Amino acid sequence: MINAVVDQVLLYVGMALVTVGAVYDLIAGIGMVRFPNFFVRLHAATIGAVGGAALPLVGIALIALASDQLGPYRFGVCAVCLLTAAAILITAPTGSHILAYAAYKTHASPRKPCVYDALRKFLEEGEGG
Amino acid sequence: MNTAHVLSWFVPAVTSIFLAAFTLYIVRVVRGPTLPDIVLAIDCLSYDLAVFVALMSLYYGTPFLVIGALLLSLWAFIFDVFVSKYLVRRDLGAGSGD
Amino acid sequence: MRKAPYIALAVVGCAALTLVAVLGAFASPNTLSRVRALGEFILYNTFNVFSKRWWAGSPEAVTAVLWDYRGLDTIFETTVLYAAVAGCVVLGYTSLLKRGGGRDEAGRGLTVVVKAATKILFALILITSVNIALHGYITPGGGFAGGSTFAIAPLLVIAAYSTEKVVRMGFRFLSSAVVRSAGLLALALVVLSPLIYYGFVLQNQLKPNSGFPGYPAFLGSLFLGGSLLYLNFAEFLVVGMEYVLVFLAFHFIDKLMGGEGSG
Repeated sequence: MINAVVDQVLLYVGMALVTVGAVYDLIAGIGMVRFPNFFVRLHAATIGAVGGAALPLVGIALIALASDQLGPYRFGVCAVCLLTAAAILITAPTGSHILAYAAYKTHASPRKPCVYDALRKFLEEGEGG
Repeated sequence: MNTAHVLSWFVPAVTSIFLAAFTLYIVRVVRGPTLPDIVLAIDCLSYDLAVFVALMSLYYGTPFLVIGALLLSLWAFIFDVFVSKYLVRRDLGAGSGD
Repeated sequence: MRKAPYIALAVVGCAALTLVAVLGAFASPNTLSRVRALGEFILYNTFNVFSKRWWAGSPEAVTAVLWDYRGLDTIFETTVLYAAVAGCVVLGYTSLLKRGGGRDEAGRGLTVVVKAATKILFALILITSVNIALHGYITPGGGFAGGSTFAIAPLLVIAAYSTEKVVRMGFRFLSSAVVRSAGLLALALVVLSPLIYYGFVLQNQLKPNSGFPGYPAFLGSLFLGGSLLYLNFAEFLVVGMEYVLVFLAFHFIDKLMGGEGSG
């Protein structure tokens, strides 16, 4: 009885997380298309990776725990999903960081619609002083 | 409780939203004016593909598909690092200075 | 105009797909039914606990085909890869000797953030690759896939730090070559040792007309997968170390050429 209730709760919480994550992903996709340059698109990529991939994976882990289809493998699926979510939480920010570093350093992407460039100011001051 | 019944409509519904996001990312991959744009979009595609694989594993009830998700997320990171290295040094691992 | 390569790629891809579809349509139904019979035989016998006459002792049919039913193919593949990498190794080692150690000024590598993430992911990749290799007889994967996954770890270190860092971590040129050869030796040992008991080459489980009782398939209720476990692990060592050797050899060759070129 209590098991069934716990399974029900896990299933619905997981489904809610996956749905929210899918909406995040759609927003990130729209941002990815509509933002003007690379450095602004980094924001969209962050939403797509953390909200649109790590969050649904946590949800899938919860659903897998409640799933009766997977049988004894459901703990394995849950563990791998959580591990993947953790890996994405490590790799996505690092990847965005190193791409931004390379793009900024080598002028690979135009900084055309530029509102405020704090890093350039910092670098110029460092060179000056 | 019958989770298979719930998942049989839930996974296709969520997958359609993810596929819409996929399409938007692919638009950026094709249109992306510079290399970092393309790499960033492919990153997002890889992470979403990891989610997609995990969803498929739930839908079909096969636990072995899910290993691919972990490798996909690692692959995206390695892609980032190598493109950045290429951009910064213009040669991989040669360590021959700037 | 910069879309021309993409259009060409799309046209070539569509042509290739059409070709495959057309070739498939012209296949003789006789051949198809024979192929299907072979597939049915393998699926029926791979893990048939009730009739162990032709079984492979592994729940994973693909690995059973790779290392048991069509094992010689895989052995030849491994040998071809070994021979191909041997040329690379000779070139790399000659370059290494000419440079006198090859421990020059290390590159600065990428930022601190990437280095920290690489440290975490190195362990993760190592564990995943060993997992893929050792579970190859239960889940999709196996020695080749595990070895290729393992190769990503030193590759990541090469990108985030430098090739010298990989050498300092213990992946030295000669020791990698020794481990690779040891893996091939272990593979040959597993393949040939049934001959001692008047069995067959590449024999896994008990077969008719053979004196070899077969490698252990169970430990209590645990699957052991017969010889597939050992073969997968040996292949993992061979393939992983071959990738490392190729990266190192390219580095040393590159360095020698660069040194000669710039003076």
